[in-house]
Amino acid sequence: MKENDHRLVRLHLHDGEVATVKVLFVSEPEQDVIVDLISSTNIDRYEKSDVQPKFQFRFEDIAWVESLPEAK
Amino acid sequence: MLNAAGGWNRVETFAGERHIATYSGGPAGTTYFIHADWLGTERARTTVAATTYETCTSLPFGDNLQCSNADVSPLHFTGKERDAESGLDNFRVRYDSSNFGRFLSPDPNNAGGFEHQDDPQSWNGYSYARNNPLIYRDPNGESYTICDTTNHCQSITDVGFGDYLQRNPNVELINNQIYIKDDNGNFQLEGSYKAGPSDDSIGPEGNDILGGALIGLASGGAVAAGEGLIDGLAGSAGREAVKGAATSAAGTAVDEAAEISTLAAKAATTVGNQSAVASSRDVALKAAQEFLGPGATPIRAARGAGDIIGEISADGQRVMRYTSIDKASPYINLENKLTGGNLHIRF
Repeated sequence: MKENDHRLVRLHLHDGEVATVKVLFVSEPEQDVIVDLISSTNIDRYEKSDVQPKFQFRFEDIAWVESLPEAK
Repeated sequence: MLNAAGGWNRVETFAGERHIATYSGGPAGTTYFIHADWLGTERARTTVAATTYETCTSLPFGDNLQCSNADVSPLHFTGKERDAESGLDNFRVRYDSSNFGRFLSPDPNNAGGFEHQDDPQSWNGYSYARNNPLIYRDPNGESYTICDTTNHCQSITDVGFGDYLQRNPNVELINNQIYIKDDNGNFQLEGSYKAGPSDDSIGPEGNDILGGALIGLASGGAVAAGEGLIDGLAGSAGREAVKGAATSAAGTAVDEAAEISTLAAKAATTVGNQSAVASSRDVALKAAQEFLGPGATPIRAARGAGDIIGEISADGQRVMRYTSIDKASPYINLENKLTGGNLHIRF
């Protein structure tokens, strides 16, 4: 996960959701990743907020990570 | 639609929000099948005998609509109902004038200001489908949401997109949707995201949690003034920050730990006066906020109840996590990406 820091990735989660995120902070000690959530196949899961929060995904909830191409 | 006798007069059949058939003509009526273009605008209608009943033409915004036969359904431009008297298309939330190529009222979600400042095409609240009706359609006239040609209709926010889009020309944000260009140069629609009303985020809730932490620290050990806090905070700093230092070749985590320990000592001094429990909340919050710096953003858990579990600094380099003191193992955790420092404060 560390290699995806500050990159755009798709998180494929164990429950079937696929979330496109920008990785902001990867924490090995906490076993999680803090992200800007860009899109999701299950958007209703996320609460609405004027102050757009960052989201925490725990490693254990992530099935696999798909790197997306960066700008050239 | 019922007729005066209470029987079926017209029935519109949809699948996935796409109009597929019209039953028209009352009890002795028949079914007409819809043949729409890539945006859902109806171009031909055929009968159950597989013969063409009518064809319709119009210009990009749906204007100058002309059909070759008596209309069996008022659904035309992108499948929206056209009012026979006014000529306006009903987009549920607001009416659109095809002749003007504009909605008759602004986007209700833009009333408080430009929601998508990074997209100039959104600044005109009256514009239809980002002024590009050949590619996009608007499903309901609301919330800066449009659909692509594959009928994916979702909405997202513009959070971080300015920077994100600048650095990712293969990605395009179009009326609340993200498209990513594939290897063939085609934009593929990515999911969705919502924005909405605010909550308290880190405000009073954060005060309670951190203040509660200090209360727990100060009272838990029944020690002399401030010692409990020092034992808890500085003791953790002594143990955990060393871990951070050990993982940081540059040793900058030591400086960070020292800084945090200094803040902890200040907090201890204040809490040493047991009557100052209330102010201890401010001290604790100040310590964490100094660590994060201004402009920190709350972090929500993506799973479970979606609780706020901490904050991340504006530069994304520092993260604070915490749990409430009513949890099994309450803690405050401060992480610094630059230094590798990780201060875990248990109480």
